[in-house]
Amino acid sequence: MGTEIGIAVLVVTVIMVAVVIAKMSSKREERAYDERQRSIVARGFRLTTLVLVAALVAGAYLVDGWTDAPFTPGFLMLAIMCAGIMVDCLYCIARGAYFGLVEPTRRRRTILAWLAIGALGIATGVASIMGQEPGAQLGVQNAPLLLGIVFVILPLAALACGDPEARGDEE
Amino acid sequence: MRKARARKGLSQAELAKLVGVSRQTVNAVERGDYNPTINLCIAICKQLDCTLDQLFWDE
Repeated sequence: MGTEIGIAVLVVTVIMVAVVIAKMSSKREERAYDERQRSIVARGFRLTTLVLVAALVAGAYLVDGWTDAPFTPGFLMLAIMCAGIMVDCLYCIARGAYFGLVEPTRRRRTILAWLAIGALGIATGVASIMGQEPGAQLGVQNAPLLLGIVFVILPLAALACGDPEARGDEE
Repeated sequence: MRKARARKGLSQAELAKLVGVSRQTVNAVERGDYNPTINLCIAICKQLDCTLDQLFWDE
């Protein structure tokens, strides 16, 4: 029952975040991608598709062949989903086309918010693992840990890449 | 393109705003790191009062 509630909360949260982001994006016209950034996003999608296909095939073999794995197939699917998100976002961040984390006017605030959400997710995930029986498999109820890791790595990558609008010479 | 922009007294950020792209994109075009679409080329030419040949045709 706890798992079902966890999944329901996760789905509702993801939908709410998606709606909020979509509304914010429509209000802020200056956040639209320009043609160079759209081409970067498109290449990011292509790379992500290839990575996801490879990861899903490898994951399918892993699930079939590793009977006493320390995680459930559901957790593996979530891990692959998070890997896909990270590949796409890291590619875009590295090339300066991922708004929210690279937009100059909101960059620092957004990075701090993402780090806070990530730390919360990791703390929640670790707490849920510590609350499980010893030797219990990681399952979809541990999703906050995965999402927390994503929410920490992406802003750290944005910080490491620096402000894209400050890159290159300005004469 | 950089010279033409300098003649007009525009910064990369100002030109970028005028043609509706990011400063990074203008910088990439100037450095030859990005091939702009014909629409962006035309927009840049209009803002810099140049022809496509003058800005984008290498002899």
